[in-house]
Amino acid sequence: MKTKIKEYRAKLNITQEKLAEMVDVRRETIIFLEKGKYNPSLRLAYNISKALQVNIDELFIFDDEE
Amino acid sequence: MKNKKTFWAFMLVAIIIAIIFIALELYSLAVVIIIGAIIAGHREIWSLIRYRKMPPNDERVKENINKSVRNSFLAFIIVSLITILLYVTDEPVQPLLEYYLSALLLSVGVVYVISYLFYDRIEANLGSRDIKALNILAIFEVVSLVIFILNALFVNTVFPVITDEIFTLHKLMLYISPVAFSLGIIGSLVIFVKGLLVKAS
Repeated sequence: MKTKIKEYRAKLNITQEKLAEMVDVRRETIIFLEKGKYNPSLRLAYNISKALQVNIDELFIFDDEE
Repeated sequence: MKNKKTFWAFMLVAIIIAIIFIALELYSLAVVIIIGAIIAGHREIWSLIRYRKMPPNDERVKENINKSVRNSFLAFIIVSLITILLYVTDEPVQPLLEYYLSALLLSVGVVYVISYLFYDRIEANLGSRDIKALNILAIFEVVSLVIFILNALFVNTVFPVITDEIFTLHKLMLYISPVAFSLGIIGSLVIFVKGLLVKAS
């Protein structure tokens, strides 16, 4: 799974720390999400997309082979 | 831990149990209980000291804690089985109950910490090659440890009926398996520390 969290975060000028605070997770969770090394729950994905003002399917890109 | 109340209740219970053990003169158990409480609450302790608030308990933390608790439980069962073997095989190395319980709790705590660090930091920081190497080394360590324990435990049971060749093999295993185990541990530690030192950004 790939994410565009970093891209949209940069657009809104939000730091990892700030985004973590907004969705009530640790900064490390945001780091690993951005690296594509953690698959979030639907709730967390929804909260992040809401915080970044973007649709979930634009933020998380699933590889069909996975 | 969910909130401050749960954290303080947990710490209070640990302190009370430690005091009871001290009163019963079971000092090693008291030390293990205190160390265990600090290990289990290390995130909360650190966050309360540094930020004066509880750390966020997000889904990733919960997942990692669940997996670490599962591994600790497995360790508890394995160590218990080994100890039962110690008692039933009539070997002269039967430990005192206090030391047995201390060792049991300590090993469960160590497995919990290693598992948590692995899932929280190392698994995400290392590449698939390092993870594969770590898995192979872990299998290597478990196999050499099991060979060593079985060799040590059943020497008296099978000693009267074994031939010279088997006895030589047994002696070889008794010396080779600790060396193999130590090499596995050193290899794992190197990869583990590498994973810990990679700064996530």
